[in-house]
Amino acid sequence: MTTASRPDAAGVGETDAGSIMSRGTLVIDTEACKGCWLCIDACPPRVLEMTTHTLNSRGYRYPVLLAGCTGCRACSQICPDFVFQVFKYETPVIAPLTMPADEPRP
Amino acid sequence: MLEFENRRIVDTSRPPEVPVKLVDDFTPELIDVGAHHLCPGCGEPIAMRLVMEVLAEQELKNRALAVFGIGCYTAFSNNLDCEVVQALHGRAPSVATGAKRADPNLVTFTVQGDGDMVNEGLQEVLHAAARGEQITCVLLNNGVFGETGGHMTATTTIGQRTKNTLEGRNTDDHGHPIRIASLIAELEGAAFVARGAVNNAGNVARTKRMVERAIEVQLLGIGFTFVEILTMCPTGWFVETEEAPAYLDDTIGVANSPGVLRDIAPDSQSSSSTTIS
Amino acid sequence: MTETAVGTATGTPRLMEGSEAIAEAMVVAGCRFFAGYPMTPFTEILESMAEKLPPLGGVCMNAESELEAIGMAWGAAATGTRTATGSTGQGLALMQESLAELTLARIPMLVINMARSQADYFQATRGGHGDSRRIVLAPMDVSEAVELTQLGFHLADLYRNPVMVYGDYYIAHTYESVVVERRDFGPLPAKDWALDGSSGGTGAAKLLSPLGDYKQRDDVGYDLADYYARVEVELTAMETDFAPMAETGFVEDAEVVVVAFGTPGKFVRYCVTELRAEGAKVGFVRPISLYPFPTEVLREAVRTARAVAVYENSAGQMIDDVRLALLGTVPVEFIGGLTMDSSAFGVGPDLQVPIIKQRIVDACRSAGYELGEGF
Repeated sequence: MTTASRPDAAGVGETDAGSIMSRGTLVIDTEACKGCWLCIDACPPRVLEMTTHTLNSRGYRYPVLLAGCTGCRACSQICPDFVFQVFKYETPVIAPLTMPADEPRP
Repeated sequence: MLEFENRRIVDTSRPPEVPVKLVDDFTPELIDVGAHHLCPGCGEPIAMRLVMEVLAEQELKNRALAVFGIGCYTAFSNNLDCEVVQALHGRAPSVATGAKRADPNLVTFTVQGDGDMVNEGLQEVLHAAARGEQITCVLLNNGVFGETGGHMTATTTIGQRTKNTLEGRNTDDHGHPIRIASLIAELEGAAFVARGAVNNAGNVARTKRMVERAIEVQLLGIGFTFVEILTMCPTGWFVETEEAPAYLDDTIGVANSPGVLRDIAPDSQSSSSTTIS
Repeated sequence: MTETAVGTATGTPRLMEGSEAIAEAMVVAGCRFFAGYPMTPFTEILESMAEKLPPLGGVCMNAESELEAIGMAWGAAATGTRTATGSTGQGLALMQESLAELTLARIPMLVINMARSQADYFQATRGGHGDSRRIVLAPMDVSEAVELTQLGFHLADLYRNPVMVYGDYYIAHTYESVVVERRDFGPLPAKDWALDGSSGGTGAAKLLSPLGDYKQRDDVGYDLADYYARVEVELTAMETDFAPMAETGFVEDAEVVVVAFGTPGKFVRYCVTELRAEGAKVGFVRPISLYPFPTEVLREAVRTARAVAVYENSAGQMIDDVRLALLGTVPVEFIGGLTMDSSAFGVGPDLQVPIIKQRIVDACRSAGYELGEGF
């Protein structure tokens, strides 16, 4: 699936091709996570991604947050392990969509 | 996931420094978790969280009494900051009946699995409903006896493979599942009967409203209230955790469709007594 | 719920059927929750409580089975309310798991067995899985039942454990002139374990459970082994603290001592009294607490005896405890047997003074105690 064909992310907050608006953000208790993946599919703007090779101390992969969160609380409501704190920005934050290619991915 | 290769990752190790509003916290009131040991992807903590949130929001935490059955969720009673009576397998409705009759001020609810309520304790829940006991029975239905390792219950769907129906449940050997909420909705002592699920955020929100209504009807003193909550059990279903929400919709969610089955209390949202069965 | 003294003026006896007298005794003891299922000869107690409790603000539940009856009692007792339930042996059989788990949950209540015979002795004293145990009190008539019912509530609260009263068909349906007034057996600890919801949300919400007595949040889950060990300590303390109850008579120089409990115990007492008057050196021991069994009283009572005879309306169950108490120091002979009418719970044809007296005389002879002519 390419970026262009993610219909649920359409209009979520892309201000121009190089930036994205975030209305919300999270604090993620990575140690509480048991890697069940429910949040990944529950997130409407698809801004949660599981780590690929980083594990918490209990041996589980855990989610990281990409820019574009709307603060909808779907992740925190579906999480069986109470991993998330969800915040809504008073003023939405606009940030570059991508990050330098040489920055490591977890 | 290749398409996110370049996407910016947000720092989620601490709250942001710019002005924000906290819209959902780690653990709601009345839940005290270090780390519980229910399986990854289990729907039961999600269901119990929403029950506890309702009690906290309605300011009932110092009037609440939870009566627990026996199942995976039993150990989770340790994580609830409300008073708890632990009952025997299937026997929570009678214990809840005695407590509520002895002290009507208690907002009394049971927490039971399908093996507990629909197998061992079928008599108890039906009679409590028929008598119109002013308790709220909460059924965590995942179609298996989870705590013993994943065995057939009365709600296991046809074709479902469990440790004692290895070829899949079939009607010749194992008969048909019981749609417990439909049975209870037939009883005149039942004032509010609903089915919810916790396999997606929308269902979680709808189920929470059902629990709110059930507690409201209990406080009105009209009769028995019942909320069935379909929960994921990837371990008992032999599926990946991320497949469990869809599996729920495709199996146990088919015959046990979410919705309100009976609501006879005044000021109810629906004027008809049966919306679904 | 409020407590009020019920019944006629203090001290005035009333002619009452045993079942009603027991119900009245429960009510004056402050019992305000009762649950039961009809079964002969327990049914009239349920009927009587259904009549007496509601006007006092109490609750009498007609449960859908005995299993639910004790479940309802469990919930009511958890709120600190004085609670009772009961049945007869067959119905008590359905309550066994709950009785054992109530012991582990440390929840007090009175459980009444209006038995059809004395063959529920094993069930009463050994019933339930695990190391469960409870005080069992066996009245011999309506007057004693009225007293022991009240004592039962007191002991249940004192030791935080279920207590059983072992009655029978005769007590249920005999009319006696009794005084039922509230008895005070002494101070009791406060029921600070009782639940009313108020500790919710404090970070220390209370728990009543057969799996543990505190909420274990240390990632270990329930430590059942540790909890069972602690309960065992409490039960052992109960056994040590409670003085077993028995009535003895004519044992100072008895050649043969007859042991019997309940209604047959009253018959045996009468027979022994008559035989003594006729010159036979016989005595009796009537256990009143079947558990803990009055071992020391029995050993002391048979010091001079050459034999012990056990009379029970059963194939012989209490006789095991008699033998255990005496450990072979005195020969023990069974002179009882199941006796009932054709309904299998009525008055048995062998429960008669001449028959019992003859069996005692025969026991004397077989023990080598020559009674001489006239016996």
